[in-house]
Amino acid sequence: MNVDEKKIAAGIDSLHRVRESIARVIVGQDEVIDLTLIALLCEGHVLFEGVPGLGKTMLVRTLADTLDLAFSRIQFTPDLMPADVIGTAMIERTELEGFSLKFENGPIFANLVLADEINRASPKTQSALLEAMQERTVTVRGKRHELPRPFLVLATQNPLEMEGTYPLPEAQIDRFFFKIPVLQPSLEELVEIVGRTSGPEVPTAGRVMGPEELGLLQGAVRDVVSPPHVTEFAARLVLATQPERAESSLAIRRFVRYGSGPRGAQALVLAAKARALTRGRFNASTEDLEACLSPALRHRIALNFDGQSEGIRVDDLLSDILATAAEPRTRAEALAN
Amino acid sequence: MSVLEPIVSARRRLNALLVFERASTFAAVAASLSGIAILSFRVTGSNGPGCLWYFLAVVAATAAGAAAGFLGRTDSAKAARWLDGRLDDADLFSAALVCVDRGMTGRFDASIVEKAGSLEERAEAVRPSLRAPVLRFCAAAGISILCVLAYLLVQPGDLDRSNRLLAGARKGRNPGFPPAAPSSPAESVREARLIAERYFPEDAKSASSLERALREGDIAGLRKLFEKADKDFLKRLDGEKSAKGRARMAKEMEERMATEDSLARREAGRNGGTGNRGPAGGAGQGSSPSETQASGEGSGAAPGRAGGRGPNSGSGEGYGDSSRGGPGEALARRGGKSGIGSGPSTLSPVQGREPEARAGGGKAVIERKKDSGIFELVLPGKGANLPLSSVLADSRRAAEAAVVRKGLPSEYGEAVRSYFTTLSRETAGSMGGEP
Repeated sequence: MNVDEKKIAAGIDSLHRVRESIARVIVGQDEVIDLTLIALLCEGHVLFEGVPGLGKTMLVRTLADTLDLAFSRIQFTPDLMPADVIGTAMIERTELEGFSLKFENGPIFANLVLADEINRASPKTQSALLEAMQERTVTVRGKRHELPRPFLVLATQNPLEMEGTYPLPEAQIDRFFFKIPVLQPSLEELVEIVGRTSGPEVPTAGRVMGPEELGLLQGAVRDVVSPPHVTEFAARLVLATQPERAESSLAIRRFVRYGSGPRGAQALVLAAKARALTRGRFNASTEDLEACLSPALRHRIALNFDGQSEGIRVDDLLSDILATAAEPRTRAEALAN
Repeated sequence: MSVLEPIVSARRRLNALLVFERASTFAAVAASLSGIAILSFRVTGSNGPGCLWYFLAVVAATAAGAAAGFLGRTDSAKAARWLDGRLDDADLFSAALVCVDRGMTGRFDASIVEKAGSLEERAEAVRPSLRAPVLRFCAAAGISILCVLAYLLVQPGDLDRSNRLLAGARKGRNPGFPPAAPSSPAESVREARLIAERYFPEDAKSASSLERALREGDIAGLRKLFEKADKDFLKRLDGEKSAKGRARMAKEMEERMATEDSLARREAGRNGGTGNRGPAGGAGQGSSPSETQASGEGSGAAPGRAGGRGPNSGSGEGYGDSSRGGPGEALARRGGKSGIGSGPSTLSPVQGREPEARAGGGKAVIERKKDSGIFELVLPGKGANLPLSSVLADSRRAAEAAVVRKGLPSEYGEAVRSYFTTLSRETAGSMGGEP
């Protein structure tokens, strides 16, 4: 193991400590934490979906604390303007130049941006996030402003309360790396939550890992080897979500309006690589792919009216796809097993 | 790179397994189809291809299966994937293969290959399971075995297994022989049984012996049994005093003649037309009338013997001349009544011909042998008393029966048939000079 690999191994250890530190604050939600860390390694934006009070904001804040990253929170409301997100030009008076316009950074200029209830903002404001999320730059009055790295948007939305909301456009939804449902805690977890938060001391997380180490791991993710059959499997899975393909399953063709595109396959393979890295491996496997399938693709599949009216769940469709879209084994493999 | 060795080994094993499985499956399927084909030919009674062709078919199928397996052989990536699946190593060997293929230029390639190398011993120990190919082979081979068992049930043999299968068919059979020539061994068996029962209606042991001799083509045995049948008949005839009984015996003799005539006609049909009459046709020439209507003094009706059944079987006519009368002569002498000319006769154009001497140009006579009492057609010449054509029929039948019984390829049967056909043609061409 060379020096580089030793550094990466140390970074992975730190990441595990980050996870433990978050787990001290957030009770349960192990999968949510794992997936969030994977998205963090891939520099992918995350859309949390869950009812209020499940610790989404707490999770993001704790993550920022443990990683020593700049954190900002934007509460999206219908009257929120794009300038409120990305910043605005302010008149500034200096002794040398007199009055001049100076760009005042908005809350998006942070490493971790919590876009709370993102679907409450108007499409105009939501689209202001588009450039920031994709290009990681902000353009104001013809001037581009680079966002700090790492840059992650962690958005939340309430799946139940639809009144007064603006569903995210497909183009914006596709820019989220993962969509992670945040579920209600179990009885034991709820007891633990109440116990921790109703006492005299509220648990907090300190700095565990610096941005440099995080940057090292983020750089290493793309060097993780993905065998050809893993990549091909990801492509098969993505293609299997498309209803216009004759090879797709009957359920997909019947209930899906549109399926995932290439961005979904990219996210899938990248997530599999990151997951492999978090487990100390330098090669991705089909198991990694399967674990990341739902968070990477569930928001990239839109149900049609039939699917919605019949209460079809996208996760169920993806499970079916996983069972059927596996690469066929060769005759020799089938014989030898 | 040591990491490649387990992958190469795995690939080799998988390919060997694939070739074996394909070849054995193809062979078993071909064997099954061959078995079904043989069985079908046996049941339908038609002549299928010879055993050599079946053997060649199985060999060709085996080669084709091996070729198919070879063409579908797996590559290193698939072998690595299979190895990963068996070792549950999170696709480590597949990744290592990628690293090696790209020249170890990746950031983590060395680490991946090193890690895969540490699993080399475990990988070498992985062996493909033989369960699936063996099961598939057994399934196909099972069909072949069933075919063999079914074949053994249908195949006629000394144990007369075919009788069990043909029992149902025999129940509804019509008296006499079917007009078509027996084309299957099973049919021959049934026919032999009928002949035997007609010749020995009261002697089951002798009937069984005759049946066996007919099936096996035992000429010497047939000769003895026919002589015995004649003796028995005469003995019974001597003991029969009533006119009714003698009429019944005359009818029995008619049935025998009908049997032999039917055989002769069928032999003629098998050998194709009257122009190229075969050996049995030759026998038919000298045969006695097949139909005799004994009116008036029925007891005097004296059917003659039909020729063509054995070397010493005589030919004769049932009417007109007591010297040719065969058993009729005996009836006439013993009964003191002449049955000659006592009733009209209908003679078929072929069977009604008089026997002709073919050697020496003299006249043929039917005589009774003093020692045995058997009537024979005695030809002029030095001891020649039988046309070759009548010998050919039995010889040919015996030879063909032997070919069938021994399961020889049909080519041999064709050769035998061709030989006797040629011989019978030559015999027919030299009718006058053939003793």
